[in-house]
Amino acid sequence: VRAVLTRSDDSKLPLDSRTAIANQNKADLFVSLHLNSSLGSGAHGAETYFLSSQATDTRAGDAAASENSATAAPAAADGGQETQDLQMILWDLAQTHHLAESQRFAGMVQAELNQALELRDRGVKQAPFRVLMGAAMPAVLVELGFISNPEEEAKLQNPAYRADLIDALVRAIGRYLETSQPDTRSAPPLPPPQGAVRSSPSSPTPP
Amino acid sequence: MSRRAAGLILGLALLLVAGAALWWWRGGRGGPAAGRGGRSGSASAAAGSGAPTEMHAFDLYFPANDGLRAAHRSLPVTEEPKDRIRVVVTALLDGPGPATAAPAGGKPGGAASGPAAGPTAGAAAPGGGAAGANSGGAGGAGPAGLVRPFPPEVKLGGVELSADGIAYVDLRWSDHQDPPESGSTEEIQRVYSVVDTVALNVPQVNRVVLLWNGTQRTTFSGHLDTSRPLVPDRTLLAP
Repeated sequence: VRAVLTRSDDSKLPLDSRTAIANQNKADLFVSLHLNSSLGSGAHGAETYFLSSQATDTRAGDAAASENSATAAPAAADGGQETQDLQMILWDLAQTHHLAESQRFAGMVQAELNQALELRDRGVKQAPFRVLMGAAMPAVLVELGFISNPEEEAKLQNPAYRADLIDALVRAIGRYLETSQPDTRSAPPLPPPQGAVRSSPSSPTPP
Repeated sequence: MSRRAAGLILGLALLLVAGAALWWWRGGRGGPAAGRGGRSGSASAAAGSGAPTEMHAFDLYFPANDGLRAAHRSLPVTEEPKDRIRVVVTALLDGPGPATAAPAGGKPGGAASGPAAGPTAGAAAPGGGAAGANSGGAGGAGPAGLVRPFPPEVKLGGVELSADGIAYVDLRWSDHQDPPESGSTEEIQRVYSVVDTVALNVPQVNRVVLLWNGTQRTTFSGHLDTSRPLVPDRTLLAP
């Protein structure tokens, strides 16, 4: 297994650039690692997200509308903008074809984290996370713990604890690759939207 | 006789003026959106047009440790959907109220304390209890561990409602170009406290666009894609 890091320091990287790196490397999996925080300090535990179908449904509707619009008015003065919008929507839709596998992989990640670390199981969840949308392969966002919880924050500052977290992730990746068909892992990579790698205004939980 | 009648009429007129002034002061001025004018409208405009207000029951969805929890409120609103959006968001931004003043399940006694949607501490989480009793958070924990979703300086800037049921809610925090930085759970708590409170209380709304200082952002604060309208997420509601 070869791991490609989108960054190895505390620099900020636009969300769409992260999935662009995964797509260009024809990765089999995209794993976005995060440390969590909550408005209440009592929240604790790990959770694993995959993209919500609502997000993809909305974009599918937008894509259809945009395609219809482009067909109906090909000579529109802002046709270029429409094309760019459609390209952006298709980029957003890259994850749509991988939702089932993303969910399966998310379940494995969550199970390994729960088993290894005896964390509170916050479960597998779905959300319209921007960083997952452009991935042309199964993709998950893993929240490894809450730094807003003093106890968990202290654990996360322990290198041995962090090594255990990584071991759990590696086991989950291994299990997934052993149980998946190569052709279900990744689709041909989409080119990044022209001039439209949209930057996130902030990136609070690297990487 | 005529002087007595004139005095009576004058007294009645004074009573009417005083009553109108009192009504305006307590309920008719509108929330923070008032004064922005233009298309955002305001409760004061509705009141100014003579639209009657009446107390209506709402569930506001505040962050808690285990998701979003409902707090019951009775708030004065008109029939206008935009007014209802404005009132529930303003009440949400006002926070859950003090932790020590939480009569379980009760409707607020007397009139609302704010102009349009003042905080009334009649909150109770369904299933209530101590789920988040030890929670803190930026705004401190309110009744049943409920937490204010945004810093107190964040105010409602304006509200729009499209014909196809998309509510545009503009939150403003002067001198803060970006929303508060947060982890994904915190961001979900903030964004969906507004989305669910609006969409689950105002039947005319099916999706919500959250704006920050008048701008629609690619992500709200680094995680959630807010470049498209968001549908309410009932899975976030605590059991």
